[in-house]
Amino acid sequence: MTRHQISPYLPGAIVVAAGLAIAMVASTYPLGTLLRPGPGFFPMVVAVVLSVLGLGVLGETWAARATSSASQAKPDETAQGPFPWRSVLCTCVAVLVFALTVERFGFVPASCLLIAITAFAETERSWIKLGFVALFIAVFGSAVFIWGLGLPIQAFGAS
Amino acid sequence: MDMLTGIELGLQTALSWHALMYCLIGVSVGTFVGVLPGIGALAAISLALPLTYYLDPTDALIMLAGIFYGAQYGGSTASILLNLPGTATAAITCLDGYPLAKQGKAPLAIFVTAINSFVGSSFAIILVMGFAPLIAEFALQFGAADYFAVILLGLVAASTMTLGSPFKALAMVVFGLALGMVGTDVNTGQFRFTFGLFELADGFSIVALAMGLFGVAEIIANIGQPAGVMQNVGKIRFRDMLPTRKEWKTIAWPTLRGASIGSFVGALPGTGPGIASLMAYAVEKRISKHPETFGKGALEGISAPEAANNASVQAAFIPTLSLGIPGDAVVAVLMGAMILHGITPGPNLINEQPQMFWGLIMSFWVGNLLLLVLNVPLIGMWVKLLSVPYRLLYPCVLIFICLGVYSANNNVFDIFVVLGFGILGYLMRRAAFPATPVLLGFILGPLLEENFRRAMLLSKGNLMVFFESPISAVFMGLSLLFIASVFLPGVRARLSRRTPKILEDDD
Repeated sequence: MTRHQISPYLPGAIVVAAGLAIAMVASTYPLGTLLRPGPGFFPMVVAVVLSVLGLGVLGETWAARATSSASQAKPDETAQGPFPWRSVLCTCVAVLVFALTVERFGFVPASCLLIAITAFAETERSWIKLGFVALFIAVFGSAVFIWGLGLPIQAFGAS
Repeated sequence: MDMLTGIELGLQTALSWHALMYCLIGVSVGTFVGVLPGIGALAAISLALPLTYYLDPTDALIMLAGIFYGAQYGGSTASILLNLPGTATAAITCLDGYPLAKQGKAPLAIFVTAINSFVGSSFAIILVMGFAPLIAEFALQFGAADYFAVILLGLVAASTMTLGSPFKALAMVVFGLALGMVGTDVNTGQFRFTFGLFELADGFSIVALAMGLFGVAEIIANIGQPAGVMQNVGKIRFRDMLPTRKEWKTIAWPTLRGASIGSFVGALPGTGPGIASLMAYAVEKRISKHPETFGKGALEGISAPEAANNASVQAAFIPTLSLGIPGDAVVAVLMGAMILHGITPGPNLINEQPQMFWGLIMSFWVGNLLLLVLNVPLIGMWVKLLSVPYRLLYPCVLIFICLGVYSANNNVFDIFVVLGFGILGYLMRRAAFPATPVLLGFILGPLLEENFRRAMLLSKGNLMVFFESPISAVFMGLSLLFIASVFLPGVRARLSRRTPKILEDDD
């Protein structure tokens, strides 16, 4: 089987796997009885239902491909365009860097880093405009969140 | 309390200067995020939620609700001018709104959508005033089994009345239930699914979940994408906005039909404005004498869906305020806000907090009047906003999201959680799994479990109890009907054939 034949089934398979994983964890909690359901009872029911629904998703994908393969065999991915690795990566790195720096170096440096990193997600960027954005965030954000709401972080420096 | 006293009390609350101010802030922010494609009401409400911790609960709710219905007004502007829905619920407005703008009738289209939004909202607010207290009174007799059944109905309705695959939606609602189980079990104190993480002892924060699934996921989907092409409208003059007598006649009935459909769909627990506007459009097209004009700039094609989505947004407050079961994902977050403020929405709310209930309802009138002003005379301001490169906003929104979740517990851990849910939400969106049911399942899951356990205790472990009480039996029957509808291929095929591709998105 090629990648295009497997990948449409991936979402359904993940749902089934998630259901089974939840069931495994739930089985470590006391199940209780129907009269007095324990903390593991509801999770177990949820896990089983989730797995069954995952099978339903798989079945639906299979049925849809069986009917459409005759006329037009088009993998889903081309319909939505390629996976935007750049957007996903930039957003992730930007948020992670913000989370790791905001308490150590302060709100303003963390924000500037986030703005700079997300800028690389776009195909073109204007550093002057982004500078204004950073200035706005530094002033407005500090005023609202640090002085206004009293978040325990500093504009500059460790908190 | 009878309705007149309620209205009087509500007006006193809603017309106080601080309530007016927060209402104005709410509807302005709502219009703002509604106009801008890529930021929805849900992201805005979750962002504003931490800011309201310090407010009086009534003011907080008035403001958050204002963002919600305000966004429905703003959403149509981008649909008409950019062919990009400002909010997912305004997607159907693109179909006829953009062709109208191309014909140079953008001012007319904007005026009509604003008026219809107002009519749709008013229609539904009257229904809320009439029905919410009645339903609440009825719901006072509900036992644990009845509650279980009505919550189940809400979850099933939310996931089967969707545009995409019902299996995917049902799977997502169950996934939401699973997320809701994380944390300490209330009955026994057992830690569940915390994996030794102390930060998860209280479960996931609703703010982190909502902002991740909707806010961060939306940013990932929009960042780096080419911008839409704006239809040049020049200066919008009031003279060009007014419909002719003939045009008034064309929109009158579609508006009323749209408002009725929207109110009905919105009042069902779990079903939101997206499906309401689609149904209204489909109905208009079917009964129209000139169905061929639809998609080419038919006024009926924008008036019915706009009336419907606003009506459904207001009607969504009926189940929320009377039963404590949110009618839609955004109201689910609003309900989360009430719980954070120490108020449990449910049948007792109207009696115990009449000032809050009626104050909120009367603020809907105030807010909708304000929105009419914001969206007709001041529309030029919002149109200018669209020409600002709104992608400069993404980093700002991302920072506000990070700070918003951080402020809930002053803990960096929640920023990681929001990012995790953001990536998950984006992957779900690509695989056409709806995110709304996850949120509903997450909010209602703990209630569902608690009422199930209570019902089991009271009935000595007899599962048939859900079919023995007449109230619960009716709800269970309705749930079964919804589930059965999934397996009736004829109904679904017809619904999905009418579904344009753009509506695959979430509310």
